[in-house]
Amino acid sequence: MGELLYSCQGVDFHYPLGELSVHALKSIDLTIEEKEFVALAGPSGSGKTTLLNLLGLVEPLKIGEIAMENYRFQTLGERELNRIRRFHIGFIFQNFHLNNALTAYENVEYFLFRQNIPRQQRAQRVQQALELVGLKGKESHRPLELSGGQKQRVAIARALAKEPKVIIADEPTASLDQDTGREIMEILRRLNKEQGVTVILASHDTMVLESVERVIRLVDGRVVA
Amino acid sequence: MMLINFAFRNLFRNPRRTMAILTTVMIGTGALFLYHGFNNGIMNQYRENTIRSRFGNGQVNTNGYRAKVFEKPWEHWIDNVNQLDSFIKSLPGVEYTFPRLQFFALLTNGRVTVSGRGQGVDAQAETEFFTALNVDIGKNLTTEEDGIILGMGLARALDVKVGDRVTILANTTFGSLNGVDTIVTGIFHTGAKEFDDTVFRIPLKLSQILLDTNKVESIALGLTGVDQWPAVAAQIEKRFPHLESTPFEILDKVYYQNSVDFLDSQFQFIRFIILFIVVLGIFNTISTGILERKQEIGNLRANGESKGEVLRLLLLEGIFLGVLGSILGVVVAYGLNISLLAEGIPMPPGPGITRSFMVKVELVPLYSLAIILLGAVSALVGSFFASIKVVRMEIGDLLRSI
Repeated sequence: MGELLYSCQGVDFHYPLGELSVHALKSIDLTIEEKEFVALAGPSGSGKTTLLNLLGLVEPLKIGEIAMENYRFQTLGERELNRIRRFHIGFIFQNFHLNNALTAYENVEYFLFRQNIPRQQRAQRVQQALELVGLKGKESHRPLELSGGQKQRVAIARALAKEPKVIIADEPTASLDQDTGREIMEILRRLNKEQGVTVILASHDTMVLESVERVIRLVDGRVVA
Repeated sequence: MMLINFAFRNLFRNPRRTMAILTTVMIGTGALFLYHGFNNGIMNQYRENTIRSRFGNGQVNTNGYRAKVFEKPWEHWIDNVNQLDSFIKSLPGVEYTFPRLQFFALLTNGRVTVSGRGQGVDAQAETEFFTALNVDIGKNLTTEEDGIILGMGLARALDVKVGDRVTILANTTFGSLNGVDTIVTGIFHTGAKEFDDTVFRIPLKLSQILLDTNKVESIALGLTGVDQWPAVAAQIEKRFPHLESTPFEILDKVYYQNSVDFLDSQFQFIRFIILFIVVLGIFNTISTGILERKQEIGNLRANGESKGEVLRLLLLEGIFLGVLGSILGVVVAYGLNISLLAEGIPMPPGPGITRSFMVKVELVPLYSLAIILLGAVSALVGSFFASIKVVRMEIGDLLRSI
């Protein structure tokens, strides 16, 4: 494994649900190293997605400390948080969240454009990313012309092309059949091994949990294993 | 440039939603554009009716004649009529001149004598230009040297019909009594009782004989267009400094200008209501569209888009929708105007008018730019207020949205 990527200490999280407040995470302590292939597992309501979102900087950290390399999340301002999300974190979602008006190529390219990467370099990265996920030749296809598995591959390519420090995936195979899900996990595993990309995903799928190197189990907002 | 490209392409991300917004903008801006054209048409038609009812485009008198009441008004009438008339007719934009005399007289059919207000007119020219006088019985004056037309009430009082003789008695400009014989050619009504009960018309030459003068009280003008008046008036007053020219809006202020102001304020209020409904409709549709895109916005934010960047993207999309929808609205308005509305819209008689008329919807091309701008601004404002709340949400909340 590599150097320390994430360090969580005493992380607590509440979110409002109507008039109630849900205590989603309770005193989470954990570390994740570079190049790890980690799954957050647990039943529904265990807090795995909440923890994933905190690691991905999409939930505000109010109690506890999370550090990613030299960045201490609780001290960062809005601009810095945006910058980290833009350059260092790639997201993959259960429902893909692709733009149906854009081609596969353009979906991958969009966030590179936002990174102010020059056109030629963007083209190179996009082609490489699509090739790595096995979608060479599908660049001009729009999401509506792709299968579920292909859409998820585009989403992976989109995350990968950013050259992030970490890819964060929330239930990446939940919308896919078993065979397609296995293909997706194989792609992620390959990216982790060959490209050295750290992958952190949340899932309750046994097949997914068997594909990763390390499983962090949560129950009722606490890490149990 | 790429951002503009993405914003434009995003319009096709959800065609149903885009069509809903475009349709709202199109209908709203098209309705406003048509309403403005209808307003224009009504005001222009009303103006035209007013011009062709009594004073033409305006009237020439000697200086101060209209402002005072004179014991001997004929001393302030226009002489050198032919010279003035020739000069006026030579001016660009002048189609007709209507020299006129007004006087008070007694009319008698030999049995009954009533008083009346006489108008000596160039009958042929007036018949061609003016339309307010509805000659219900017989025909209007044209070339008859001794013809007379009377208002309905006056004819009834005199108990005369077409073909009957009427003698007119009046004081000349020298103070002596004079009379002329006429034959009734027609009986008119305007709907204005006071006018119909007192007014009669005879040829100008006959009135000049009756009053023993070669002067006229005023010369009304018929121009090719309303916008010609200032130049024509300026030329007349420059050449004949003892004369003044008064446009019809002032001559007919009570009926015309006040009616125009009254109608205009109503139109402004209605326009404001339409505008409010249009903006509200656009805002509502755009709001719904943006609320449906919370997860999409969450994805953008999760990948590093700042709130400002997401807002800019949404506002760009809003502007595109506003401009596109407005252009469609203008096109549809023109299409309706040349098809369903080609014949105009029938309207009942307006204030001071006795005839119904057809109003053409007069679309102003320059106003279409204002409409497009309005559509764009409405969509922009709607997008802003709809987006600002959503982009400020926590990313996690956006991603969890249904």
